[in-house]
This record gives sequence, structure tokens and C-alpha cells, in this order.
Amino acid sequence: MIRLLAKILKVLNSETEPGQISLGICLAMIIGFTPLFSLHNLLVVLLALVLRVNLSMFIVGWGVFSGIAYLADPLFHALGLAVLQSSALEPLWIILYNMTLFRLAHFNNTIVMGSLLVSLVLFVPVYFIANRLIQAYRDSVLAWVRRLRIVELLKSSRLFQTYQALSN
Amino acid sequence: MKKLIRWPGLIAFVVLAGGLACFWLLFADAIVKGIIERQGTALVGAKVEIAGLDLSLVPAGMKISGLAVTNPDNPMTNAVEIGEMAMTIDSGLLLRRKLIIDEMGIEDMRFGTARAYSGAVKKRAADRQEDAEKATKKFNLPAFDMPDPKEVLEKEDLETIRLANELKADIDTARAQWEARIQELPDRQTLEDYKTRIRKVKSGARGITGLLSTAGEAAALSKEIKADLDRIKAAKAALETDRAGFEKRARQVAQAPARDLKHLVEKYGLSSGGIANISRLLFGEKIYAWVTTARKWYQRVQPYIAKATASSGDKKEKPAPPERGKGVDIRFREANPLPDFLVRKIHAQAVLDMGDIGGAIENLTLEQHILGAPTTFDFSGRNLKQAASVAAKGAINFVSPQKPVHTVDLFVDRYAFSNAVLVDDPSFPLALKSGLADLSVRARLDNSGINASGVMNTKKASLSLDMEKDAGLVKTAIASALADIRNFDVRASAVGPLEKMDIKVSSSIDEAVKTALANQLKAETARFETALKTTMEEKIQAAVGTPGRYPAALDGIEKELAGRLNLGESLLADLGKR
Repeated sequence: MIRLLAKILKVLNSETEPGQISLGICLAMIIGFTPLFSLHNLLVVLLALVLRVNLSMFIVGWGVFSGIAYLADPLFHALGLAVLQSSALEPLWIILYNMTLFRLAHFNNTIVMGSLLVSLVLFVPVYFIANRLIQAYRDSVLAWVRRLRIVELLKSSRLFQTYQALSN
Repeated sequence: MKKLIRWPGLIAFVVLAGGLACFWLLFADAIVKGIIERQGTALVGAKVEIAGLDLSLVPAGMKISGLAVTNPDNPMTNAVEIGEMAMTIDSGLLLRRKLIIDEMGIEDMRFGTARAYSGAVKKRAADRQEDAEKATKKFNLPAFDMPDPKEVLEKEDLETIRLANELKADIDTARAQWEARIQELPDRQTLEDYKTRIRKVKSGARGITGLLSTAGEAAALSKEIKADLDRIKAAKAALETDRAGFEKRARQVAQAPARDLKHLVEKYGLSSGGIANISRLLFGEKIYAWVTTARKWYQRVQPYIAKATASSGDKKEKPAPPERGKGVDIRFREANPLPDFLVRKIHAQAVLDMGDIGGAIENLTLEQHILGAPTTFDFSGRNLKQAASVAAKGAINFVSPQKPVHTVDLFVDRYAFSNAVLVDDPSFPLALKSGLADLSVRARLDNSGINASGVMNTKKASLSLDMEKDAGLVKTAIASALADIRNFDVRASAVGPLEKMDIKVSSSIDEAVKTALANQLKAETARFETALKTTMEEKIQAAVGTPGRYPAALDGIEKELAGRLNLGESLLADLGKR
């Protein structure tokens, strides 16, 4: 646990570009929100591995977003149900329903549809917000945090020792 | 970003995906086996086990060996045991999440085989209730021996005693009321006072002047006496009415012992209705057990049918909240609609005690409304060990989920019975040692309930009832009557809603037993009635004496009123002689 926390701190405070961290968070949001054994998650994992995103943030984000998904489950179901039962979209769903690839993707499941829609809609905003937050953290909060008494105390803790070891 | 692509990541992905594929290939058999066992156990309510399972990719298929489905009502027995099941699966449709099995072969299917260990699982409350229901026998053995009259009278409340006690209590109350009322009426002293006044009037009525002066006084006195006499007369009339009522009730009490006797003889005596309808006893329990088992299995499958057919409704209808994380699969119009699970044809071969039978099941699916065809089955066998031929044909039809119609026809030709236990009760151990039976059963189940009927004609029958030596006369007579029966038929029907179906059983055996027992029953019943009557009279005498004499308790009051009336009338007569 301490190692993992140290890794997060390392990622946030390292020279890793904010875009790489943010993309990791956004991909984690998709895999975390949607049911794990969905076809699109294979693509998400492929992107997370092939694109130069921060894998530590991807893995941690996955866990965090899975927790949020558990709480947001009824919302995903309601949204997915509304979208799948929409008369305007029915012709589209019928076409997709008759395609093997989309049947494999299980798009007609309310949770898959609802959670995928939410994560896709939030993808771009979360990317930019995360970027800004990481930049702001590094610019102002990091210096202020370093001056805090408690941080000085923490620096002498085991967590910080581990962090230092990893950094080196 | 300095560099967008991380090429080693692609290798990692290939390794990861390859690893998952290898894991599936290595463990798919065990995973699928586990899924089938878990789902099957949940469906049946008892262990479903598979000895071996082998998946093949090209062509896509599955082979299951040693499938054992425990009988939930008897966990040491398998309801069905299948030696081998082999099937071919449409792999293209599997990618569309549809398990379509074109052909399935079932070999060595056996029913009711013994298990080495219990296949029970934790029971649901509903099942425990079903077990409690099962424990209650629906067709009980009637009494074959006359009960002891003393024991009968000890546990029965007699109407005679109840009526007699009520009468006695009412007469005692009435007597107390009359004793109080009589105090308010003119008593003997009052009447004696009238006598003195009459004498005084008479003594003053001497001569014309005396007569004239006492005439008014005499008239007033006469009026007073008449008024008192009227009160006494009214009271006497009321008392006579009360008494007449009590005497009427006493006569009813006198008739009550006959009613008590009739009721007790009917209740405890050997009625022809109880014994002569012996076919219910011989076949009723078995027929009830078969029908109940069929009902249980149907009710077990019913929720799955309901769930599968629920999606046939309006698309806009809001489905029930799903299990967390599962969601609901919304169906859309398909170019070639197919159920999610379908076995197009099953060739099955079953090994029964009577011999091997074979047949086919077609269109096995829970989503018949999508397929548009019912599940049908057709099994038959010829020249079997125990029967000339067997044929079972039927359809499970819920193509229209709102109007399901299920039918089954079963015909057995010349089934050879051999030591078949008909009554598994040590007090009446009846067996059909041998016999050749033709059986035909037709059943239909729809929204109105079940409508099933069956006829079994048995020839060359040999019934045996092995009883202890000191068995009663009635049992002996039944055993003798049954031993003489060579041909008999049994007709059974089950009609009505599944939960409250009315099962009727009748047989030509009934008439044979009734005839054989007629004289025996008459004599036994007469003997019981005589003994019961004597014992009952003794009990009534000891408890309430002679209720006919109860109204005599009012004699004293009646006598007193009569005396006062006589005295008053003699006073009036005396006054008139003036």
C-alpha cells in the first residue's frame, strides 16, 4: 500500500507529462466504469499499453473508477435503458443488433450502454480538467505543500523513504 | 508527448491476450463444467454433477459424460442419470451470444438410480413447506376393526347428556322463579281472612234491614275474592304452559339417545364408503405422488419460462430493476430471430426397468415465442422386457406465453407387473404379485388447470394381502375378495388448478370388495351398535338419571296453586249461599 501511494506521488511529482497522466485517468475511467469483460475494454487495454500513457495512474484509476461505478450502477442502468428504448435511435440499434461484432460487444445491455456513454462523454472534459489540475498542483500546490510542517514530518516517514528509494 | 507509441506495449498486449486465450483453452472444460453444475443445482434444488466434460473447437461441440441430477425429494437417488451426452454447437451464432445446438445425442439415460452420497443442498423455505405437505398422507387406511364402545364414549360428548343437563338447569331456574312468584300471590292466610269476613257478613245479614245493610259489603268482598282468584288462575295457567314446554323438551331428550347412537355408529362403524372405495387406498397415494412430482417439476421450471418470455412484451415497458452490475439485455428485431438457447433435436435412449426405449425431443427452448414452435417429444419402445410396447408423446407449448397448452399421451401395452407393492403399510401389505396391464393416460395443462385421465385394464392379476393370523374378520374378508380378483380396471382423473386439483380414483375392485363385505359389514355393525347402545344407556343413566321425570320438580308449586284456587272458589260459593 505504501509502495502504491509512493508510486502515485512519484507520478504526480515526476517530469511525466500531464497529458500522459490524464490519458491514463481517462482510459481507466472507461475500463473502471464499464463491465470488465466487455469487448471494448480489450481496445482500452491495447491503447493503455501501446500509447505512452502512465500505467501506474491507469491501474490506480481503474480501481477508483470501479468503486465509483458500483455506486453509480443504478444511474448507468437508467441511462442505458432510456437510450436503448429511445424510438429515435431504434433503427440504429436494430442495425447494430444484427451485426455480430456489436452483439459480441454486448451493446444492448443497459449497464454496458449507460456506463460506456457516461465515460465517453466525460472522456474529453476529464482529460483537460486533469491536465489543468496536475499543472496547477505542480506549479503552486507542490511548493506550498513542501513548506508544510506536516510534510516535513512525512519526509521522515517510511512512506517518504520508499518514495525516495523509487525515485532514485 | 515526446513519443506517442510505446511499441513494447504492443508485445505486452499480445502476450496478455495470448495468455488469456491459453488460460481459456486449458481451463474452459472445468469452467463450463462448473457453470453447468452451479446453474443446474440452482434450477433443480439438489446437486447436479458431471463426471467429465470435453469441449471441442472444430467443429464446435461438447461432450458430457456421467451427468447425475439428484432427486430433490430423495437426495440419495438421482432423478436422472445420463451416461453420455454429445452435441454440436453453431459456432457462428455463439459469437452472437446464442447457444444453438443442432443435434444432441443422449445415451444410457436412467431414472431413479441410487447415489453413493447425498445430493442434498441447503433447502429453501418453499421446499420445506412442500416436504411438510408431502409428509401428510392424502389417502389413509380406513379402520378394519370395530372400536371398543367404552373408548368411543370416553372421547365423545353425547347430545343426550347435554340436553338433559340444560333441561334440568332450566327447570331448577323456573322452580326458583315460581317459588318467588307464589309469595306474591294471595296465600292461604289471606283466604282464611276472607272466611272470617264472610262469616261476619253472614252474621249481620239478619232480617230485611240486615240484608240490605250487608249487601254492599258482600258485593265488595266477592269482587276482592274474584280478583285474587283471577291472579291465582293466571299464575296456574302460566305454570302449566311452562310445564308443558319442559315436558316437550323432556320427550326430545328421550329421543336423543337414538340420534347419538346413529351418529356414533356412522363415525366409528365400518361404513361401506370407507372400505369399499378401496381403489383410492390402493392407487390413490401413488397417483397423487406422480401428479405432485410432475407439478413440482413444472413449478420449478415455470419461473424460468416466465423470465424468458417476459421480453416478448412491449419494448417500452420498464423492466424490473436488475441485479447489481448485471443490467438488462434489451432485445431488438432480428433478421433471423432465434432464441438465446435452443436444442433443435435431441435423440435420446433411456434404460428403464421395463426395457430400453428411444425417441426424440425437438425444439427445446425457453423462448418458444421467438422460435414460433413448441417443444415436442416422442418416445417409444417395442418388445421390452416387461411390456409389449410403450409410447409417450406430447408437447410443451408456450409459443403464446399467455395461453400455454401442454399435452401428454402415454400408452403402455401389456405391462407385466411383478411383485408390485400397492400399499406400503404393515397393517395392510397389499401387493400385485403378477398381472398384465394396458395403460393409457391423457393429460392437458392450460391456464384453467390440469385435465388428466387414465385407465388401466389389468388381466391375469394375482393380488396378495399377507396379514398376521389374528387379523379381524373384515380384513380377512377383504383379503379373500382380493385374492379372487383376476381382472380389474382402474380409472383415475386429476382435474382443476394445479394447487387444488381434484384427484378421483375408481376401480372395479371397489364393487368386488363391496359385495364380498356386505354381509360381514352388516353383522359387525349390528354387533357394535348393540354394545354401544348398552354402554351409552349406562353412561346416560349415571350422568343424568331419568330426564323424563325432571318436570315433576314443579309438582309442589302446581299443587299449592290448585289448593289456593279450590279454597278461593269454596269461599265464593259460601258467600253466594247467603
